Amino acid sequence: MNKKGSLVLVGSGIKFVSHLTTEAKNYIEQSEKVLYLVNEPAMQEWIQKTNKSAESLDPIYTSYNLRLDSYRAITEYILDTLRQELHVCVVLYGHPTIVAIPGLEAVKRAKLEGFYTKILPGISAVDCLFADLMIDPGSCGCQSFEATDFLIYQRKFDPSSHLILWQIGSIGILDHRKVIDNSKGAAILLDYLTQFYRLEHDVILFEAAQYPHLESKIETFPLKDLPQTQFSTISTLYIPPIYKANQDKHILKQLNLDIS
Amino acid sequence: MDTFQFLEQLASVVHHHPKIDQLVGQQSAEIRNAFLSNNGNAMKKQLSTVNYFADMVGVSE
Repeated sequence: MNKKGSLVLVGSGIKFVSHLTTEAKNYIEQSEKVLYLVNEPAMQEWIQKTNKSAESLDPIYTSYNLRLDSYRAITEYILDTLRQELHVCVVLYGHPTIVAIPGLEAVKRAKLEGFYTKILPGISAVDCLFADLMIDPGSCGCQSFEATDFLIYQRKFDPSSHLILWQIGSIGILDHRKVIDNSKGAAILLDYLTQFYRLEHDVILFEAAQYPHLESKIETFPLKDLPQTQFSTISTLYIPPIYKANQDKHILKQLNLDIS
Repeated sequence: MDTFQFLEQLASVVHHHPKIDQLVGQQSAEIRNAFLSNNGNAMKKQLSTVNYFADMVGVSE
């Protein structure tokens, strides 16, 4: 860590300004260069007002057909900026390493190149989900997957735990299209999920509120309605546990526990 | 008060603060209606398409 310059990756949270941590705010204010990719115009405006060096990564994001190519280009741009030996702050919405490839990749590579790096956590959609749906992920375990990844790899999970699927509104969509017909992907997802859940099992579409004093969008519907449900690019699917797991008596005995 | 200041001030008060009604009342009909109907998507669309802010550039999702 003897090179000049540094890279600090921060999350802006979901809700405009309200979710910014003090340390994230300090880095946005005091860095020599701020690069940002946020999905809400007021937050973008706030960053630009807060630090005159701020530069949107949006032009890079939208200049490639495939999102993966955009992410690679953004990573390269972040590293090129850092190599100018500046103290760089990169702002991504939500939590900066959750379903967000370019910042994390840039930090890993910057660290290998000898730069000081730091990642500051932000409030993610799943944090909002735990609060708004009153869920304790420690109560029976919680698994989360990116929805397309979940299907492609046929991820194994425990239906007695909470299940969260990210990016449910763009299953199998790898480009930037604005209007997405997600019905085909949702039908394939339904087919997979019915191996584990009843068709009548209630699931929840969740979209965290992006503005102060607005409520999050919470829609409960039976699993069978998944293909007909309108999702957006910020939708998350929550599936409650379908049964209670059995305790392992042998393990209880080994641990000298009596919690039946 | 522009929409940006409105959102900043909104973020600085708690839900039961009387200032919220006053802040919302000063906004354009589109923003006010979106806020009162809890329609975050409409609010975002308004903020994305109408020139509420001085330095607006595009945003992506």
